[in-house]
Amino acid sequence: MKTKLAFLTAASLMSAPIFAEIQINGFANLIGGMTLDEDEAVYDYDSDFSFDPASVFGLQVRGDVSDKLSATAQLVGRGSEDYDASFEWAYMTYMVSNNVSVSAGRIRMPLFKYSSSLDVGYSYHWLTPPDAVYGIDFNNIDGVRIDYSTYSGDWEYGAQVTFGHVEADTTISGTEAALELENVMAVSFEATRDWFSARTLLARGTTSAVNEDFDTFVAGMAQFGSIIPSAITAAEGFSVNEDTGVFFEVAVDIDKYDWFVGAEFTKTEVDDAIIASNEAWYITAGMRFGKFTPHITYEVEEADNDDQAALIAALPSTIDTGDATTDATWSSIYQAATGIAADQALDVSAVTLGLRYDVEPGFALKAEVTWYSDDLNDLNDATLLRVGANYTF
Amino acid sequence: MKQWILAAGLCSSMAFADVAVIVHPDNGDALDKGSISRLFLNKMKAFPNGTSAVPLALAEGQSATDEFNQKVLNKSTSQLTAFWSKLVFTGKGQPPKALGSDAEVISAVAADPGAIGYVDAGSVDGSVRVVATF
Repeated sequence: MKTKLAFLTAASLMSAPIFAEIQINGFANLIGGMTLDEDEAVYDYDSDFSFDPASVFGLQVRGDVSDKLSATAQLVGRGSEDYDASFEWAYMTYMVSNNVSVSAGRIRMPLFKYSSSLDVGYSYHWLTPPDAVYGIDFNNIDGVRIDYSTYSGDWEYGAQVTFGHVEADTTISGTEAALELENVMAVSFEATRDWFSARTLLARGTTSAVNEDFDTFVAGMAQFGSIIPSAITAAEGFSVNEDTGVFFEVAVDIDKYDWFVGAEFTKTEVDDAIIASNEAWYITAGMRFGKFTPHITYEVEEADNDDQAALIAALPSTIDTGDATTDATWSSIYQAATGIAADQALDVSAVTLGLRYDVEPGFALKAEVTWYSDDLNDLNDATLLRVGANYTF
Repeated sequence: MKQWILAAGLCSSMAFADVAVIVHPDNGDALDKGSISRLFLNKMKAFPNGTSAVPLALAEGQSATDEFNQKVLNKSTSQLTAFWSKLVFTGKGQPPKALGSDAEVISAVAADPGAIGYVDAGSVDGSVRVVATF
């Protein structure tokens, strides 16, 4: 036993210099919420109090391989996925110079202002960033990111170029589909001066989404091309198959410490696909009174399905081929297509009032009320109450 | 006359509450508040002379810590924690190592030509060079 102990001590002494370069950090966001009315549901919450939709726990391990090279892995468990922990990030970073670093592996895609610290609730005033803008299907990318930073006078600048490949789960008209973005390239730029900061990003990628039922439906529509030429165009315009997607983002922030105001705008377009053009934005403001930060946010998300509606408008609602089965099949395809196209329109907004209380550095408590409103369907309106604790170490 | 001495005494005791930013005596660079802030916030990784910078912080609760965070970094402790959590969880950087006392910071800075630290101005001795006082 003694030898064993001595051996262990010797081993720990020997390994100490190596392990000294390993940093472990963690974060926890325990967020519970419920809607205030029996038949209301929003952001995966309903009238039963639940921690699942937005709670996230994470552990990050970073090791310095050398002065210039480091390896980082982040293990994250989400309530929405039954807290099954998975490696959401795993990458190596090489410091090319004091201004340039290159990261490769599974990395966070810098789509939004708060992308980099999306899971670290402690780093912002909300429980979660506004869903209108931040509620997208993916945040990570397998690829390479080049970060450049510099300063000049009182200004600090940063630029990032990201290349890679994304696979994620999405939905087409309410059914699950496998989203794949290939040859993604994103360029972002940010400038900061004291209390002012602004950033923008432009990204593009080849977008495909696979859902067997949807693909069968689209193929069925295309089969009518010999009778209805516009059915070919409609089928192509519905399928999400190697279509070019473009994403644009811009954000501005003023933080005078005693008060702050920020806004962010995003626009998404996927050519020749059922995915409607989407525009979203929010404006947020708050004040800091010691440990208390009351804040207010207004967010809007709109999707415009004019392109999809135009494809439907070019189709006959009924055909007369003399074959009753063929005619009936077309009718049902037409009805379904009309429904799917109509589903793509979106016009929602929300107002959130919240309070953050900083208990101590690294630990904050928050409460928020969100009034969600669906301008296309009042039945989806909901009032959401959420409370949460953010911890980081 | 007596009042003058009294006033001077008050001034000097106030001066003791100042924060001195210190570097190795071999480091002859002049640093302004902006540069010091950048060195401590991971935005500038080397001194103007090209030497890689190793910023050293003081532990929370030390008198110079809040003073430095407020006066030089313009951040409250909570803001600084939030700032670092963003960098840490994006792999962009780690907060400076925090040492327990002024004496530890001074001896660490005296031993490393790349080090930069801050201490209560009253603790400074000849083994380090003061680049700025706030």
